[in-house]
Amino acid sequence: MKKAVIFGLAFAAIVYIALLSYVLIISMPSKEESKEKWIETEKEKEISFAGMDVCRECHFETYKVLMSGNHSTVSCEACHWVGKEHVIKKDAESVKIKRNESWDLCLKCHLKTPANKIKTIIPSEHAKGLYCVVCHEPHK
Amino acid sequence: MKRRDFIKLIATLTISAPIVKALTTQEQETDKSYAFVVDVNKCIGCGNCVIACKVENDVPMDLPIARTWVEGYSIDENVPLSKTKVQKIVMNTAKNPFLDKKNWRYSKNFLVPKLCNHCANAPCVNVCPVYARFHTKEGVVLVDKNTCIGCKYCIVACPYGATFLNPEEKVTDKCTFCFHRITKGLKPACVEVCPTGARSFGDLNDKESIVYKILKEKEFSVLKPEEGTLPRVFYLGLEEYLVE
Repeated sequence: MKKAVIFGLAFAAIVYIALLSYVLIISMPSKEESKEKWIETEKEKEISFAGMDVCRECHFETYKVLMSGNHSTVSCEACHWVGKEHVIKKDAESVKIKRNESWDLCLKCHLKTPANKIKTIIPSEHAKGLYCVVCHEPHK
Repeated sequence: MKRRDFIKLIATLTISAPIVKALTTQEQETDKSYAFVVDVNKCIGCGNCVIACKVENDVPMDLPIARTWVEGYSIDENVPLSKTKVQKIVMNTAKNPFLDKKNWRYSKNFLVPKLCNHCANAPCVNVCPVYARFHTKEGVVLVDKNTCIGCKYCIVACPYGATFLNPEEKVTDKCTFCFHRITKGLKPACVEVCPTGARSFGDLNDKESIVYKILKEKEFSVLKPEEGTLPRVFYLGLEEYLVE
């Protein structure tokens, strides 16, 4: 009789300790581990936009002009777009804006729409047939 | 007597368990707490953010799913409020609907850029059955795509509609504040390309950061405060009652 009680209690204790250790040791770290692993995966993702600090390293003169003008809030890659390739190859091709593209590019922001509060134009009434860069210096 | 001892032992174990746990799993405290500020009055609807986000994070460009998107509201204000007419325009692909004048039907017009709010009390984290969604130390909500099973509970739970199913990967996806960029000291892609500075990002614990300064000086609001989600995205100049 006594033996059976001790045996039962021992069994209960084993089950209790096993459950407790599962909760404390096994389950928590395994969940944490997969999170840590995912955070590492997320960090390793490739960067496309290099950021203005990188542009400034080489193009400091242009940067100074840009910062002193009306376009001071506009970062380089807002117009020149993804700088990933240019940073590695240092060629003009991937970030160059052609003269005939300037019309589309400038109008992305400077087209008159009901919700636009910056200086805007109506294309049919403003210097039709000319490229924007003929009159306006985009870095100023 | 033996039984009493055993009960004592169990009681000691139960009480000591949380203490032991607290001592052993002491987390390294980080000093960063990221926040995002959107100035509604500065948004001009160029759509740079939407396209840049899709490029940076490999979201399909032509499908109407986006980690960040811009909503245009055209409003015919009437009293009482229930008679006010609101027309909503959404830009979530490379095509910009704001440039078309016909889309703006009424007199009062404004734009609201939106993204995942990285709520401190995030419904998507709470409902995820496989614990794929979690908070990082910095307060960013991430989706573990290896664990996610694509059950879409989070899509239903999110009051902001900020999460979506990526049809190529068959798992849910959402804004991560460009986690791969911010951990390297860069700005998120949408902040980088915003030409008017309508979006700003920074660390709330850093007193020199731009978001700290803005939130200290100006009056701000959050989207759907009644949901109790405690968002990390703050809006300046937002007329909340008009925004969905």
